[in-house]
Amino acid sequence: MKKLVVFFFVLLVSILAIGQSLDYANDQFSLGNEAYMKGDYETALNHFLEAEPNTEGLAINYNLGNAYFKLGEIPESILHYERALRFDPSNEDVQYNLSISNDLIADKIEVLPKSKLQIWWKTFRYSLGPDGWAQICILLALASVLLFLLYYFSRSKNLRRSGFFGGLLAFMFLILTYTLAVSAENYRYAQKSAIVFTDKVDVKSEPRGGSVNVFVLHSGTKVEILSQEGEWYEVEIASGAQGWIYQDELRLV
Amino acid sequence: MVLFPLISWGQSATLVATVDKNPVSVSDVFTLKITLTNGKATIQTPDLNDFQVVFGPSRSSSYRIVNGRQSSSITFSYTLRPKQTGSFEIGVAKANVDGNMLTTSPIKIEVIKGASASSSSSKSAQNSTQKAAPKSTNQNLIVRTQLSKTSVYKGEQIVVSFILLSRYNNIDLGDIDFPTFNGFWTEDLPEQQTSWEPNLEVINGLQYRKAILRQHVIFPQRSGTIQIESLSLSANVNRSFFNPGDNITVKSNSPKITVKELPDGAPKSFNGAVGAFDFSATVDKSEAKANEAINLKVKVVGVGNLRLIDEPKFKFPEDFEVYDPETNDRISVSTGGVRGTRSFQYLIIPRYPGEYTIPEFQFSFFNTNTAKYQSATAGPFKFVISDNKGNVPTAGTPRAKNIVEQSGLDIRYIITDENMLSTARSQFFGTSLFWAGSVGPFALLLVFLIYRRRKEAQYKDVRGRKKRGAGRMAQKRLKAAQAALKSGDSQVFYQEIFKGLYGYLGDKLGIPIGQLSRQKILLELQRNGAQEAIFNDVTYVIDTCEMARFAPVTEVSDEVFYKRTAELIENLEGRLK
Repeated sequence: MKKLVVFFFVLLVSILAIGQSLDYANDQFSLGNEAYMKGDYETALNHFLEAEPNTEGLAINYNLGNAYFKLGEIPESILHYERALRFDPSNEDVQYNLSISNDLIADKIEVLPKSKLQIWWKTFRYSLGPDGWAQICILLALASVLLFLLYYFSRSKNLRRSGFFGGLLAFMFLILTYTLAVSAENYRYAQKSAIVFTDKVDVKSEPRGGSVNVFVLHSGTKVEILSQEGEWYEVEIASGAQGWIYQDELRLV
Repeated sequence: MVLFPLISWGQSATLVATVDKNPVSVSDVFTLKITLTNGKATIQTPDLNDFQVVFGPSRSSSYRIVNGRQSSSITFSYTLRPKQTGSFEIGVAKANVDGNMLTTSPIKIEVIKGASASSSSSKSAQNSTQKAAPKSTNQNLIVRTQLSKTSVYKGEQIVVSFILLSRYNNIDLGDIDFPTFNGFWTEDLPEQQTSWEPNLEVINGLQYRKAILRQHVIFPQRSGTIQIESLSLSANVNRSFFNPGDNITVKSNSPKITVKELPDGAPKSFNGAVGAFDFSATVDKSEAKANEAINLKVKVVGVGNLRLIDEPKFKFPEDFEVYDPETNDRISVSTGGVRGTRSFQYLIIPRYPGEYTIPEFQFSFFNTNTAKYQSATAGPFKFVISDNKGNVPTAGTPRAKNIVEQSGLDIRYIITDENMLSTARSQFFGTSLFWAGSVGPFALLLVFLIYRRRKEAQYKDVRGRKKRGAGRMAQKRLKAAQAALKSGDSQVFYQEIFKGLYGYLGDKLGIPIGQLSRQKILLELQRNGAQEAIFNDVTYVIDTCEMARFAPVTEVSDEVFYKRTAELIENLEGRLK
């Protein structure tokens, strides 16, 4: 009994703490929005940065990206737009602003075109985010149990049959939804990409300072990280070229 | 010093000194003429000490009226002989005409040995039978490329004249190879027939007839030093009835032009106009109805590269339909350069009512006179467009759709909704709550099923035991009935039979004692699919027992009834499992 009371107390305190830090983030966020509205981007940026550690998601990263863009810091704005896309890859505003930012950087890398189906699938897969899929998971679990009970208790043959197959279908969808949730979570947190922050970077053939320069990148370019070797990252750019970059030249999305 | 009093009248006076040949040989004589035209003055002759005056001065005068214009001239001639070889200068002659001091240019005379090298005088040239090979340097025939300026800014105009100077009386012009102007925009002066100009040109004391072959106005298009190629001209001279004449080819000079780059700091609206211009723009009305045409006229007046001026790029409101402007040039090309007017006329049709503004437009040019950029502005023009009810485009004519054009490029606005914020790393997926929610229902189901199965097993066990005990209980009860039968108590006998059968059927069919009734028993029997015979037997036994409570049973003996009941139970035992 005593243990239970302690447990609930700790739970309550932690929920309150989370709520408070979110309140703080909310305050900073709205202060930043006000400053941005007045065109004081410097102040807006400081408020957004203040809010950033206590929150995550599309809104904070999108607004940070905008503030950086207005201050002319394009690589930072690209970094935050890319982070915002992690939470909603199909958000049109983020995509638009990112494309404008990408027009302002030195490197223009050919991106392989994607088919409509690929785009639709990506949009669908990440549209709800891991949490959205998780909620559907629970609904499906409940549905399949209820349908099984219908099968179990009903005396009518039709009801029993639809209960059985409905339950089976719901269970299969449950597994599919769970997979989608996992993939959405991986997209958001496990995927590794980075933005180049140094004005000009020689990409090396080996993770060693003296090795051959394979190609040159400039600040603002996005790279996918394939592996890590000490203080070096093996990267791939959108055109498929690969090489090694020293860690200080990059910032992870 | 000899002073000559002279009487003269006319327009502008000129004083020219010429010699008939230069260079001359020591043994030769030559003539120096000093001519004053349209003047009345005393002429101060130059010092002629370097030469021996053979003859003169002799004076001749002429008076002419040509096309109503009178002109007079007085000429003093000296025939001179050089004293020795070398280079001598004949000084300047002076004359004071109405307070204006006129002077001649000094003449440099080369005195050489032997016979006169060049057949200089037209007379002797005419007489020479010897065919002269075509020479590119010929004292008697000169072509010149004359430029109005040699150092200009890019785009500044230069007048180029190709001039022919000749001392031959008889000359037929052959091929003329005009240079091309690379790196220049060229405007030609209207071509005229080449003709001798009335005034003679004196070069180094020699008199030449002068004609302008061709003139251009050129505008350099790149900076740097540009050399104009020389002109070459071939001509046949001195042809007469007796003489086939000489073919001569001469080449002009090839002047260089220094083109300066325009200075930095050009206004944003500068588009290459160089010269001196006036800029103006007017609209014919500022109030109009929708779909009514408005004219906007832009005029550039001045001197310079007018033809290179592009149409001004006004920022018309999106709701205005604007046609390509009509360009009108009234440009003349003369020795003064290219001047005139270039005008652009825009036809504007406002499509929708409202208030519109064409913003201020700036026109800039590089002023070559001040070597500075200069700007002129026009506008802004405000328009009030009223609704045109009577002239609405009908359905048949497709109305021009307003295309919403994106004129500025900027990122989209921030998200201001605070509810979009979520706590850092507050993901629900993967938490224990998620697992409870998704796996929990199945776990509960499993627990429920197990519980139910166990309960059912227990329940089934109770029923089974009762069922199995039913036969024995019935036997026990029938035993009590048998005892009653032996003692002859008929009332008790039937009671015991009734109790025994009821109890048996209640246990066998799973009916609780409270619900036990005749009707319920029959219903349950029917549901269990009892045969008609059994059904009838059960009814018969129960009915008889109930009847026996009130009246003694007579139609059947007690022993037989007991037997039948025992058989019935035995039967039921076999059927109801």
